[in-house]
Amino acid sequence: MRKIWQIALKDLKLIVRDPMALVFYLLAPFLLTLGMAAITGAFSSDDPGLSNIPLVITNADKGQLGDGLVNVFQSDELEPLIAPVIEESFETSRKLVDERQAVAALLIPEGFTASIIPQTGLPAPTDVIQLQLYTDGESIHSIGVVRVIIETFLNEVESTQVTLSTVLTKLLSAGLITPDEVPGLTGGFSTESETNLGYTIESNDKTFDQKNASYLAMIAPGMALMFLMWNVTAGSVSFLIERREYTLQRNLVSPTRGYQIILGKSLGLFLRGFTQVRILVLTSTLLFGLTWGSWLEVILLIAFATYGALGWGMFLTSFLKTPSQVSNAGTAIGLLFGLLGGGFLPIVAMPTWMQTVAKVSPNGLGSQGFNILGAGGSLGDLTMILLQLFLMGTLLLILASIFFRRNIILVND
Amino acid sequence: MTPILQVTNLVKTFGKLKTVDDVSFDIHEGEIFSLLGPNGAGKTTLISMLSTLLTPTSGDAQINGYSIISDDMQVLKYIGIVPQEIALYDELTAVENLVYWGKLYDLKGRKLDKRVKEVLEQIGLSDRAKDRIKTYSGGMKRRINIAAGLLHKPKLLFMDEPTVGVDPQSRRMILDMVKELNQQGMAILYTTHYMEEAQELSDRVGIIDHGNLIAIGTQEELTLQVGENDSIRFETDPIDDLPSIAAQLQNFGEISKVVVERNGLTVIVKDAESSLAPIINQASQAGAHIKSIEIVEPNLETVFLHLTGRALRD
Repeated sequence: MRKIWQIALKDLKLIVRDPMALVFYLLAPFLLTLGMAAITGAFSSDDPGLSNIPLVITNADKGQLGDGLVNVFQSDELEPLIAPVIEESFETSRKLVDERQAVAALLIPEGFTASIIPQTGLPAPTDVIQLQLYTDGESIHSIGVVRVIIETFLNEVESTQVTLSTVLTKLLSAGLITPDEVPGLTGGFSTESETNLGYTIESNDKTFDQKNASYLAMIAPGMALMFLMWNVTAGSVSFLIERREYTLQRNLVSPTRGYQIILGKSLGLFLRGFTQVRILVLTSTLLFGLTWGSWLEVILLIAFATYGALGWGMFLTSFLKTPSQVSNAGTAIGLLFGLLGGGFLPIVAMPTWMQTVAKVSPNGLGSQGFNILGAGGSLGDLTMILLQLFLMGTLLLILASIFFRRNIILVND
Repeated sequence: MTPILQVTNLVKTFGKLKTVDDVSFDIHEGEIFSLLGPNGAGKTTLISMLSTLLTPTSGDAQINGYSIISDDMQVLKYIGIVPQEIALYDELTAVENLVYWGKLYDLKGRKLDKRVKEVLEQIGLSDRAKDRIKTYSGGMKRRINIAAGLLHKPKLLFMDEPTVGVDPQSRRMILDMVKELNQQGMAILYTTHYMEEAQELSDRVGIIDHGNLIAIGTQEELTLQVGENDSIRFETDPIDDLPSIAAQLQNFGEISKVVVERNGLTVIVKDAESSLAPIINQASQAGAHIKSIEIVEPNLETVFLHLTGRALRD
């Protein structure tokens, strides 16, 4: 393992030492993000921006807290920011979101207040009723503002509960009040410190007309994976360059196994590809609010997609003989896989047979994975994709190891 | 003496081309053995097989008792390689290169640092240790190239034409280093097409041509194969018809062989002093415009000429 790491480290050091390579390495994903945004019009998003955010509120609660939350949204302070509309039916509210007349619909369900402040003569609530937010899944910034307001409100409620609970505990322990006096002092407000206040969020992605969805959001995974594929293939040329420079032969005549050299160089390539796609994901999230999914799943998917792409890159390198052969083959396969993986057209717009064929490429599988995550999928939903990518990478790396030894030697005499 | 290397009937073919043809020899501990032969003779192929980079078509070799075919990882622990090409990472410094190669030989920590320092002193480049290889001259790169093969103190060092393309100063340094390493007990297999290097360094020499090891022995043993013969080198006018002149000299007097070279002829005779005048006369009659004459005592060049009918530099 030490030798594998040494070989990977050396490869990374060589990149850092070449200023142009380093600039390309760090800037390329960033520039690609800007390029994607430019061609997909993300710079002129449909997001109405941070003023007059159209929000539909359905207050089925009609209690103190429900009314309080409506009042917050209708307050003078938020007047330039939020344009709330009250709608009796939540179904109608959802429809307004689907029809792009509002970015989100908020439902304050019946019994919301009662689940936090027990009503006189009724038993204390067991579960707190959750607010429901239905969004268009696209107007990231606007939805973010609405969520911040809801969360601030819920935090206020929660902190009131905690404060009340603390004061009552102090009074009880000091003997200034008796347990019998507590209900009268709380005005019925629950003093349970763990009331699990919160809200659920749902996006209309699944029902929304694809033509209206962000084109950037749809092709970004495909583009990212195409970039990854190109990058890993281009990186694997370093094998042939090392062969040309005779350093590979020198590695081979040290007591280092062929597979250690392959794994060491692969690890270097993997770290490069993985980092670059992470930069791309991060910049597209920060600059254009793209939602890739939860970070753990996204990182796992990038790692496995990089592994699959690495397998292809090494496989090509192992039986092609010159850097230009790898470069040309890499470009052809990169474009083909890019097409199959949704780098040019959203996968959903492709014929079914093409979507099936796409699964031989890390791009196709990766895009499928990103789509699952984008639609709110969990790690469990991703398992098959990760497994397929792992098997693809492993199989291709094994084949690469077989071809590697056979094709790697150059003898001049 | 115990052989550190035993080569037995080694053969390597590429398609129909046999680059190494049934070669057998051995090298003893502490010995410098030179493989002398022109470019394309099969020297690098032979070293590539011995260093396990190429698999032999047939035959085997034992290094320190381990087979190059079945115990390759053991073999690689005992040998050091100085390849013909500069196999270093240009963007890394000398120290970084040496540390990297040292780690591949399982050296680490203080032991590795100490060895890196020692070899840098040995090759006289301690003061440039932290400079990137790309800033080095060709000769300095050659020296680092050698140092990388010495880090793990191999018992047997393969040096494949280590002086190709270096300046005279670096060449001298490399040759002195080879002798020094040998004095420390390292056995060395040195390949070259420079007769002078083989003569200066070797305990024994193997002459290789077209993949065949055509002669082997000490320099004295090899020159005895030429017998009492001398060589006379004639430098002639470039316009002279050398093959025709050679044909006319072939059966003249005591001449045993005439070899056509790029700028003249080499004639092998029993006694150069007594034969010189008649040969000059005969050559002139055959149309040669002689510009200079050199009488050469029997040496490895003469041996190669005698055995192959060609000059080493051809």
